[in-house]
Amino acid sequence: MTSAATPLVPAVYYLRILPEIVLTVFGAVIMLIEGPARHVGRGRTTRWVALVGALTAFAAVWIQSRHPGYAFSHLFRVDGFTVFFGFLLTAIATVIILMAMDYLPQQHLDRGEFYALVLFGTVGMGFMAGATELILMFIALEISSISTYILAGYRRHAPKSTEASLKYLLLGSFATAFFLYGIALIYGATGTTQISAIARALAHPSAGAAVQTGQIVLLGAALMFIGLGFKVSAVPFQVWTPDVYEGAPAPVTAFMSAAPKAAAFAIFLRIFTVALAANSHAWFWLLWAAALLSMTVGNVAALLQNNFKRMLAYSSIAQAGYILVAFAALGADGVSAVMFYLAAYAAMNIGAFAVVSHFAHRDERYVDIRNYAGLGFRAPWPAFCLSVFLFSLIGVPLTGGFFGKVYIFRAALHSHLVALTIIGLLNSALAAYYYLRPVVAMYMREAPVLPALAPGAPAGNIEPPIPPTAMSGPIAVVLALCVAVVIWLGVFPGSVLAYALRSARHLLHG
Amino acid sequence: MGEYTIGRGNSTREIAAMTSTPSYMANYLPILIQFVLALALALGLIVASRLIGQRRPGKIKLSPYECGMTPKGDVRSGFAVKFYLVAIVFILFDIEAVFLLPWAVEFRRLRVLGLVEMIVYIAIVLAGFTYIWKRGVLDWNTPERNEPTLPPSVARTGNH
Repeated sequence: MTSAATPLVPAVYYLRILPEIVLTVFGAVIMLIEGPARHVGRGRTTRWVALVGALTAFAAVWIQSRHPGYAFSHLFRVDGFTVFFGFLLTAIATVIILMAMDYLPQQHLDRGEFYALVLFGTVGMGFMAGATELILMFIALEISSISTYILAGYRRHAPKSTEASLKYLLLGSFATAFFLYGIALIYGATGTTQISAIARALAHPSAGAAVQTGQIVLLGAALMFIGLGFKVSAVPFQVWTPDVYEGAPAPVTAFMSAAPKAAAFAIFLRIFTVALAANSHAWFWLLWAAALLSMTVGNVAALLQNNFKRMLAYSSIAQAGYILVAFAALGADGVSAVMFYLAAYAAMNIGAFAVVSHFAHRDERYVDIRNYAGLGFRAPWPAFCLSVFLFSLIGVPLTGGFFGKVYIFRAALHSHLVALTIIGLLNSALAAYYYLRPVVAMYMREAPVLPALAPGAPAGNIEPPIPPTAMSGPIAVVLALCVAVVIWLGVFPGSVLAYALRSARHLLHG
Repeated sequence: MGEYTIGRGNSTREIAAMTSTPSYMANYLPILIQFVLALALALGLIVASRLIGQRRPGKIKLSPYECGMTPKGDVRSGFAVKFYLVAIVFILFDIEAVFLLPWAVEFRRLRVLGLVEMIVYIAIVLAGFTYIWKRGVLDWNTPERNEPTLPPSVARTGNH
């Protein structure tokens, strides 16, 4: 493979995985600081280490982008696609760390492990984005999943949080087992685990009818679809989503709904549109059905929710459905629409969760939509930001969500997915109802008078309004960043879309 | 058996060639036969003992079998979470050994690069080890801190 003159591992290989190296080093440093610490509020020093680590990793993605190419025996590839997700994932990690700076002290959970786990999880997701080999994809998926399993149970004295962690662990391990079985079958059928080699083997099957191999490939594809469908919470693999999103701490829910989902879609795209491209006629209908079901089930179930986090959980199932529509459209148009939507979705969804996390208070007491009554007048700025995020989730013009949906449905129409487009548009209209409910509560409802002050009122049905909450610096930065990105993607989507389109073409055509 | 056997030393191209021939699935026929045989034997023995066996149940015969010892108490009692922690730490070092062995075998060929990579790897493992050590996972003399903290009602039913 390598001649005697060239070294076994060129130095540039390490530059190609620089963001992951940076994140690992900072995560390990946090653990070394954290180990001997005994005092309460231990996260006070480590959170700054984590923030610097995440920002350094963001900068390292830029260095990584200067050195495109394969690394480590074709296990990892730096291309536009990898870099796009690298920027997205490290940005998400940065924002989540800022959010946790506000949330963890408020919940009396301020320990440094949280930050280390976010960094380690991002390492796994970064490898997921760039992996071009199935085993590395699996290991990366596990690194990211195990971090999120632990993070989901971070409020360990709250039964709901423990329940979330346990459910996520059991179902998640089950799902990754499906994924691994799929890998085994694909390897059995093609004799390789490398994405490009699988694509070659399937595109040029040797003479003598590859009927039986074809069946093994299809079974493998279906099993991998189950594993990845679970990670992106597509129907019918979504049952865990509402419970886990409700029980996990709010910043973790924000993290889970954006970062692992984006990384799982990155794997999804690489496996299905590159490795299994030759068999697209067979797995296309899986995508089609999953997209249809996810949109419809997510939106209809979200209509019935009063808990803000559960509502956003069902909304994230529906959003996964929209993304699957773009996926089913295939081609560079579809792939770039997926990438653009993931970026817009991360900004608006994390923003919405940041507001929920900020107003949750001790033990996440105020997470009901009815708690938000009259908030628009008592806390005008956070309420305004939340409205921007919810309008973007609906897909109102001038927000990133609008262009995200435009690109998705345009790609779908170009690929003649008329039925899916019509159902998607109907679903978007349906979704407006539940996204507007918090807005109506904040601006058009009076805060209810508590039973103690009005003796005649029925005590059971009144959700107390959120008490006045001081804005902290980090959460203000998070909200400002998310609003800026949502508006930017809604007014000047061109540059991001052009970049996504370029890297999508690069992904599909070598 | 079929005309091909997959084993060590086959190239990707060879494997791709054999897997795309119709006789490929025929290679798995012995496994299917083995599976059917195992099932038939197990079912046959159960049915045979039902049909021709004698049954004289007694108190001792009906009690659960526990490696020859008299069973006492419920198996589902709570025990300290530190057992799990030690088990996890054990797996961690097990994996380390799994990585060390092939490295030692190929040490000459990997030269300095291999040595440096292994030092980095062990440093990462040691960082984790320092963490668990300092957090008291290895300390067996802190019973109250690592005991399961169950609410009183659960603790009462779980202890007998």
